[in-house]
Amino acid sequence: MTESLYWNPVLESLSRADLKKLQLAKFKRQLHRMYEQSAFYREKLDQAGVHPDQIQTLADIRRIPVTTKEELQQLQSNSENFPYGPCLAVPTDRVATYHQTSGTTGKPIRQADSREDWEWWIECWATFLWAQGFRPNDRVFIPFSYGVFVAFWAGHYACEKIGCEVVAGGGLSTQDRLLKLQELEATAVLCTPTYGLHMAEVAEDMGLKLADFNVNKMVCAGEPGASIPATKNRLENYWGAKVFDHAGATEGGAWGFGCLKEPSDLHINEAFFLVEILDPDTGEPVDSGEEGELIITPLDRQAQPYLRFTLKDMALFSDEPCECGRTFARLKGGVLGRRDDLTKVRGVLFSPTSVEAVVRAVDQLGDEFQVVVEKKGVLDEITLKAELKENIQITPELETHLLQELRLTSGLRFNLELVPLGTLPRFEVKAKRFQDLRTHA
Amino acid sequence: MNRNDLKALDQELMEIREATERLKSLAIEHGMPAAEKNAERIMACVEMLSLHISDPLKLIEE
Ligand SMILES: [Zn+2]
Repeated sequence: MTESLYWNPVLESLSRADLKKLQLAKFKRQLHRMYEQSAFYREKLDQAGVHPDQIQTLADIRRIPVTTKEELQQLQSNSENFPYGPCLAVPTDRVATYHQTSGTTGKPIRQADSREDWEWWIECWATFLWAQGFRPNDRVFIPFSYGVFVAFWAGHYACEKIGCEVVAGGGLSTQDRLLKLQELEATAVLCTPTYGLHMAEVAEDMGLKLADFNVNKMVCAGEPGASIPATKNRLENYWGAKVFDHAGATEGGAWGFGCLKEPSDLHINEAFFLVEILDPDTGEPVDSGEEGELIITPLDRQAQPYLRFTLKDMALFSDEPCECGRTFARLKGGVLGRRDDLTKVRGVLFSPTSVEAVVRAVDQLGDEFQVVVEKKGVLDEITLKAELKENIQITPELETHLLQELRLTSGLRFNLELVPLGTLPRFEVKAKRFQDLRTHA
Repeated sequence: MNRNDLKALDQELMEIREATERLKSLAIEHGMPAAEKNAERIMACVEMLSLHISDPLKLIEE
């Protein structure tokens, strides 16, 4: 018997038509469950005049109003039913784990999961770790602070479920983590792309060459970096390993993954999630090859479920077959940026993440950068601050090249500040590289 | 894996589910938290097996 390439060969190779049937049936079951067990969703559906029995097709689902992060923040800010508020859809003695969002966009959301939900998280991670080649002979090092953020917790247990040997790399300095990685000859790492780059920089300072370590694969989560080709290339070069992206959120769950054949795209785990990709203006689904906003419904989550939750992420949808044989649809190039990160600079819609692709593709520049927008008189000024690698001098050619690339990507004329390596702030988890200093009236 | 293979897996799963439920009730009846809590843990895995096996079998009409 040859080893399966898929965690679940049945679900991962259903025909597109069967996948849609499965999603609709699971959505209906989940909607009934939510209507019966969650005071919040019952009220929301009643107010919208939608009863679960009226949802008979995938198109009917769009009659249900979306759920936003702000709504949940509001719900949990009342002291009623502390700490989860009326979002909770099971008795409190069924809650098995507590996590919370990082709160980068407002108050953190407190997240309850039951024992079954926690197994579900682990299944979602196991699906893509298996797709990325994680097997029982791997020794996986996980350098993250095991705390209230869900981050790599489920990844840890999914590795364990697959049968890998798991090393919890929390509670150590970056230097000590690197030495432990080297000592144990770990074969795989789970971390944010920012931390993967940071570790590479620290390794270099310590005189260590990561490419000589035993790590052959790395799964990045928390930020979109591993889908940005220039960032992925840097990580792969430093680590001498294959780098995969993963998409997930405390609220949505672990829903997207890069496969071995198309690691720069994200497959959507459509057996466990309904991810709608909608035109932000019309609210209608986009066609394959078009860009839209992601709305997610985890189809099996029970303690604190989400119904049409707006991720505010933009992505390019494709239902073209993938060489890996999975029939799950893909987001070409991963998540393209958060819709609420888009900001207008001199009247032009600008996405700060677009700068990352430019900076990381220029060999003379280090990994860190910052983008600052400020008001000078009546005009917006936008500046890229980037670090020059050691022994690199600023030349007019380098400046011209960078300014041209930035102009091409964003349509904006940038100012440049090239500073010595090590000048800009370092981040260990999620990076904050965009500063908007304009005061908005 | 064809539909009949999936049916065979589902049949085994139903038996595990029923046996685990019986185990849990007996554990409660006789006051043995060790058996009750381990049975609950098995049930969480049974739910996952159900997502992998029973759902594609039963929710997709032929
Ligand atoms: Zn694929």
